[in-house]
Amino acid sequence: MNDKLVETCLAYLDGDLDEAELKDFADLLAESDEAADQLADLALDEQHYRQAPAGPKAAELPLADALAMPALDAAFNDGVPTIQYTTSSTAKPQSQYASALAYVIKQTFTPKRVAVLGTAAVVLLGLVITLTLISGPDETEQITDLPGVVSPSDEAPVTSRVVATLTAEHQARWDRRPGQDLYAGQRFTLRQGFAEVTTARGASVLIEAPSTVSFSENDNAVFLREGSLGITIGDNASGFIVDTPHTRVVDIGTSFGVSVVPGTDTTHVQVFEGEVSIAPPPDDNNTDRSRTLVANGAVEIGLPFGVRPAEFEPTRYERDIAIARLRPGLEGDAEWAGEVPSDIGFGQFESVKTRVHIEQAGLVLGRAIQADFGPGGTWPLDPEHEAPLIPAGTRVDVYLLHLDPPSTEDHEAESVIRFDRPILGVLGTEATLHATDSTLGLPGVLYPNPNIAGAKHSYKGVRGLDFTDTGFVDHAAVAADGRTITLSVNGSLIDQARVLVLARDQGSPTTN
Amino acid sequence: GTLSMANESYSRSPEDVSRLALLWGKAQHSVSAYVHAAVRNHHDAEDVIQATVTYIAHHFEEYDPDRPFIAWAIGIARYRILDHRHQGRRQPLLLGDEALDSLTDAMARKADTADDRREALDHCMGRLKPEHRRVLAERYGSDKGREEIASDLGIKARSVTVLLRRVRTVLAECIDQRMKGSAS
Repeated sequence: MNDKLVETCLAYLDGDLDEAELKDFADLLAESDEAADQLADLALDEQHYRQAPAGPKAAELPLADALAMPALDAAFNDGVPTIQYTTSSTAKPQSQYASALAYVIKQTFTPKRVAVLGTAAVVLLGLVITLTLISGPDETEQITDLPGVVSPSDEAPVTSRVVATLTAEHQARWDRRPGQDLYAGQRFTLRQGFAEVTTARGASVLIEAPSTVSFSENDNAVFLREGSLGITIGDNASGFIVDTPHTRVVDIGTSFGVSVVPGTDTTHVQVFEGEVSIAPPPDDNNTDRSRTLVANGAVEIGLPFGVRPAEFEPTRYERDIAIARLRPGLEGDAEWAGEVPSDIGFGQFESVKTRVHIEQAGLVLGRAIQADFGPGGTWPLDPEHEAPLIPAGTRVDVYLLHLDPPSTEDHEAESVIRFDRPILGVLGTEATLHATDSTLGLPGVLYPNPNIAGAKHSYKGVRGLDFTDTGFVDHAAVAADGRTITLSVNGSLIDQARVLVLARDQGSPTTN
Repeated sequence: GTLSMANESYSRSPEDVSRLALLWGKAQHSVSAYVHAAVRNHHDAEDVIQATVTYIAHHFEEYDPDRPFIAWAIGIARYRILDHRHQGRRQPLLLGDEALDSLTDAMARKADTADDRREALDHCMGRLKPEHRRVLAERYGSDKGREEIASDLGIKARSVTVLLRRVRTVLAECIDQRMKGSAS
């Protein structure tokens, strides 16, 4: 990089060149592609800053000593004095050109025409929304007081800038419930359930209770004081930052999870897709550089160890609230494993715990399903129990319970799984599981089913709940209220059961 | 569907509208950067961008889809800048025709890597101290003058200039290194 050229271009962009210098610079631009390229680069950067959020209304704003930044590292790392920042910022004028385009096109589509062309109306609506997104977040009027908002002392102060939106909740209980608009610096605590927050730049942050977070005035950053976040980055939110007491995580990819582990004074970071950059703990004198963590990697950050590898746990972070909403209450040796993976055969997911997967949500049964047992029923099957026939047309959520212990030695897992809606029936035999893979299972998943043409897994007699003849005995019971299933599973190969629950959502159905 | 306006008649299908919105979404950043670089008065630049986007919306049928949309849009913006110069706006255009053409070509050349640069800048800004990002946002996001920022901070305007230059130079160097790294 040509520092002198950069300096000259910046002086031009700042309007600091006098007439003679300006003429020279214009001549240089006309002659030199390098100069024109450099000016274009810096202009692109400036446009990016132009779209950045405004500063706080009033804050303790530490300002770097302008003369103490001679090098890159200094700029990123030097200590700075603090001075009082005293005045309100001017609201950034809303971008007019996006609305201009929307306006012109709106004029093109007269109301009458739009009424006739419903498709066009939908496209126009999408266009306006798109343009609104393109133009960046709306500025909100400066306000002096936000009722019910706590300004954490160790984070940025609350400002009037809306930096994120609460887009969905599931069984959420808050210390002090935020509104739909989340302001920079506003701290809130989720005591129970899940909340999905979408930042102005399009990052999706799924907060799992208990968590305390606040969003930075930089509309692409969040401070996680404690708790757990599953993050998915949109196209415009690249560079999303998660700050914790122990580290700074900067997105370089698309999907990752961050948690501040209670009682351990550490932060756990796990990457699902893409990469993240991880800064060492602030007081770590042994690690002086950020490091990159790639997909399927996990680390812990804290003192005195600095940054150390951790086991990748595929189901640790919830990143989709639609999936999180389907998560039942779990006790004992059961673990929530989210959507059923593409291969759920023998040896794929060995664990001492019973994995609870969701296979289908909102599925409308195309034909009646005969369950092996239902509310009040048990495994081994009770001959006096009348197994339910679930009628065609019923809308169900389908769960798969899966236990595959790490070794071929017998292993026992005891679990309680509680649903907030009725269990309609349980399929526990190998035969009923095989028979319903194609109708109740998730299409494309490799089940341990030899009846499926081209099946990768052709084991026989290893699936379903075990009964006396196998030498192992599994026990299960659905409570009379139909909302809780208890399991005591002895596994050596695979134990599976399919649980049909009344669907949570009444949305657009899929049928089997 | 074919639609018409009272004073002019042209075709515009919903697909075209959707396509235009997508293309403009990708081009907006570069076009805006280009206009602001050529027209240093913020309000004049906004006027030029608005004129550009209005022209694009009305003449989208002239766009040749075999050509890069960003280059086409920048070319239209160039003419709007020249129009602006002849209309005696708030501040005279600082660059002559040759320099403007050179900048036009450069911005079109940068179109393919603009997203990468923005991504690199996001990364590098993530490494900046919050207070430095804040000053950048004050200067460019709020379009505050250096004097106003200096007054707010209780320092000299010259110090704000030096600080901004150094932060921007550091960021440019960081971006340069990062893009070279990703290219290798």
